[in-house]
Amino acid sequence: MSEFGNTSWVVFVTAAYAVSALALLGFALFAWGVRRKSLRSLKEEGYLSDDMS
Amino acid sequence: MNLGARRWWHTFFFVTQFSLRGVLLRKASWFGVLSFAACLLILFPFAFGTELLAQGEVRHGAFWAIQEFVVALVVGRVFQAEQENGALEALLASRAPRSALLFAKTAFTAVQLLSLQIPLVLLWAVFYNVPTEGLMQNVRFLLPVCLLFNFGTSALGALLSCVVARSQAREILLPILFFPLQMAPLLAAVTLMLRNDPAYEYVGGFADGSWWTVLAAYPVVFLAVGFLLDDVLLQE
Amino acid sequence: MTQPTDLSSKSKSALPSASESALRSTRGSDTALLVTAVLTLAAWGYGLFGVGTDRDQGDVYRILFVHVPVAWCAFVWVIAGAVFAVRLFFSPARAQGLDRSSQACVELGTLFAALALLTGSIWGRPTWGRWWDWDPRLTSTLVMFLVTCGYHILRSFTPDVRARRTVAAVVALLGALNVPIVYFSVNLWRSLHQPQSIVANQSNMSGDIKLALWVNVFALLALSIALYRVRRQSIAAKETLEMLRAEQGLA
Repeated sequence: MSEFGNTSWVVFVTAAYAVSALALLGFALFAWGVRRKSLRSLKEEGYLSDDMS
Repeated sequence: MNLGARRWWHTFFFVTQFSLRGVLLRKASWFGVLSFAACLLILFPFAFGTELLAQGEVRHGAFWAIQEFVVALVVGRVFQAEQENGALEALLASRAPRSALLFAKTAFTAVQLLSLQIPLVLLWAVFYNVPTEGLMQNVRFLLPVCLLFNFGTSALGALLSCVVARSQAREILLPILFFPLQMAPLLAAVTLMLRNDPAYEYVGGFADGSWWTVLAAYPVVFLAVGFLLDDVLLQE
Repeated sequence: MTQPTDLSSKSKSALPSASESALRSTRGSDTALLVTAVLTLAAWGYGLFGVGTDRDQGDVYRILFVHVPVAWCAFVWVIAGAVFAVRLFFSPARAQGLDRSSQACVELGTLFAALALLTGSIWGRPTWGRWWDWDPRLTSTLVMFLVTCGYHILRSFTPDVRARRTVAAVVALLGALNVPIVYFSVNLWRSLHQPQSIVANQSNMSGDIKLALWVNVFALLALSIALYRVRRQSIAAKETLEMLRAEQGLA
């Protein structure tokens, strides 16, 4: 049986994968963005020594 | 009995007596909670429709839902009296064992809940037309269920009161943390009452023993956590 | 307001070199994140296109390859958060680092719990005909999700740093303790008539479906570890910045 009930299983399966992918990507971008912003501020405000850049 | 144990029990009885005296002096707060619970008891039939109250699940479910509201009010005020009159600071600054303070508050809260449940059961039996043939059996069964439920709930509530004591918006935080953690004993209490109501045939999958285990596990687990983390939870 | 260049009159770095190098070593974690993301996508592709159709559920069952891994990851990260919390009680000298680790773990636990609920709900619609069912696993995941949300709200409402670490650790521990109790109790709630889920009936699963499931579990776990590393670094960087700014403000 290649279908279950009707063809809309594609919608459910795609939605599940898409939601998960978007959520994980969103979290990764959020974490990466906060880290980048904080490190940049640390460097700009002189807390990180230049010789390690 | 060594000195440490004696000091522990002394603190336990002292704080329990102190709390009991506080409630006896401020009877208005006890009556206030009872009135609030009675109002809810009357409100639920309007929400569900009075015909629905004939169903056992709705009757028992409404009773325990109202218990949760009562618990939320009582647990939110576990340390309130001591915080208001500065006694908590004095207790923490003294050499009183913190676990005794926590256990005393748990025991007192459990007894306070029981004192509210007794009149509530009477009102529930009247307003919800609990069938008389099974009423005494229901009430006899309700006592151990309530005791275990109260102790588990109080242990959890006392722990969480300490957790949110140094946070803002405590009145929102405590229910947010408390209710999800409280679901297991609630489920156990409702299921046990339904299974043992002679006027109602409940088809459940598992034996009473499993549900009693859940009810008994809560006070044991959360009292143990309180005992191990007493210094962390009750810092000056 | 003090300009950044005024700081040159003090030593250039206000951080110990170990902290500095830890903050700077982001390339390794970025690479790991990218690699594990590709692995996860490959595993999903295998689950979507590489495995045959299920005899009972047709192709809808393919949601299993994302739902089960995220649910397991949710439990793993909540428990990991509790482990760091317990270590915090035993090693107060390392409280700062352990608190950051615990926070990152619980954040991941929250994210995966939300995904488990969403994907479970999406799977439930074509399978059971409704978006939500008081299935033991879904219910216990919902309770766990609510507790982790409470954890984050508690953190944001506790201004004192030391108090925040302690209370957050207690809630992380309570949340993890509650997981087996709730799971056990709601599992008891399930009536004899309720059909077993496909996961409970793993012995009925064909070999290729089982393989695809395990591949997806390991891929997602690896991705979650990479996400943990990045998030942990971001928490450390942000808190370090705030701490140094606060010290500068006081000085």
